Amino acid sequence: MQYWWKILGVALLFYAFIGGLLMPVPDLPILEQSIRNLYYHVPMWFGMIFLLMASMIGSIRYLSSNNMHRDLEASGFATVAMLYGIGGLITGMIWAQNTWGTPWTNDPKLNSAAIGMLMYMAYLVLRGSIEDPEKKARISAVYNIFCFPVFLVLIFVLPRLTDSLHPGNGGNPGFNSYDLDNRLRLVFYPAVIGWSLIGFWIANLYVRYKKIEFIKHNA
Amino acid sequence: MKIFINIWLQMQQHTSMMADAQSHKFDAVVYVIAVIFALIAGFLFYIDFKLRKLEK
Repeated sequence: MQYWWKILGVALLFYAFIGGLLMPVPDLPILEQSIRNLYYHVPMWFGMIFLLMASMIGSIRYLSSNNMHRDLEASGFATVAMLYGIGGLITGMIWAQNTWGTPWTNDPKLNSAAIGMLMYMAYLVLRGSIEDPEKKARISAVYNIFCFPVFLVLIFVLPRLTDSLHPGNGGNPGFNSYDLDNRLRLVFYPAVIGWSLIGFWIANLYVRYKKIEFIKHNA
Repeated sequence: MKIFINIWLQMQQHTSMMADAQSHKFDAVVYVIAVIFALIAGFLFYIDFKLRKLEK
């Protein structure tokens, strides 16, 4: 019973890989066949945000319970979220190269995403720089709780206040209004669920491994 | 004129064969990606089972 969501995640991502590359897509100007990246780039960012939210919840639960397992959950979710973030950046750069002609532009969304990623890299460095486990857990939990809302502002609010190449930002129409037709939705929504479930599964494995290590270390 | 038509037809045939070959090549790449993903998923299940044993 505890495997159903893992099997569902694998099945949905399998469908997203095959369907995403082979199923028909609308013929859009400039985007053309690169629109298929919508099934990989965007769901990875969705997955990353869900994982970062879980990480923040882990930090809040740690501060309210002082249970070290909650701290391990917070750091595990943030680590896997960073992996997703790197995947999202790479797929985004490939997409930008094919549509905007350059992998990185001075786009506010790109710069905000880079700053946000650096903030979470700093969280992981901060954890590595403190030896005392209790102190490490408490300081990094407080940092993590502050990080998440700032990250959301950087990703979702600031790019909307200024000109941006991204859809749905800086006065641009969002994907939903023009480009996201039913053929894309058929793969896009399962891809978002699949990428998120697989992200949670990888984080779950990482956290369980860390917990076993922690119990062994403190036995 | 007939020669030109023949050349044109041959070219058309060649182009469609090339497109067909490219399409098969693309399908093959997709299935290779799917197999790699299946292997990764299998590896994740393997780690999951191993961890479950260690947790007992």
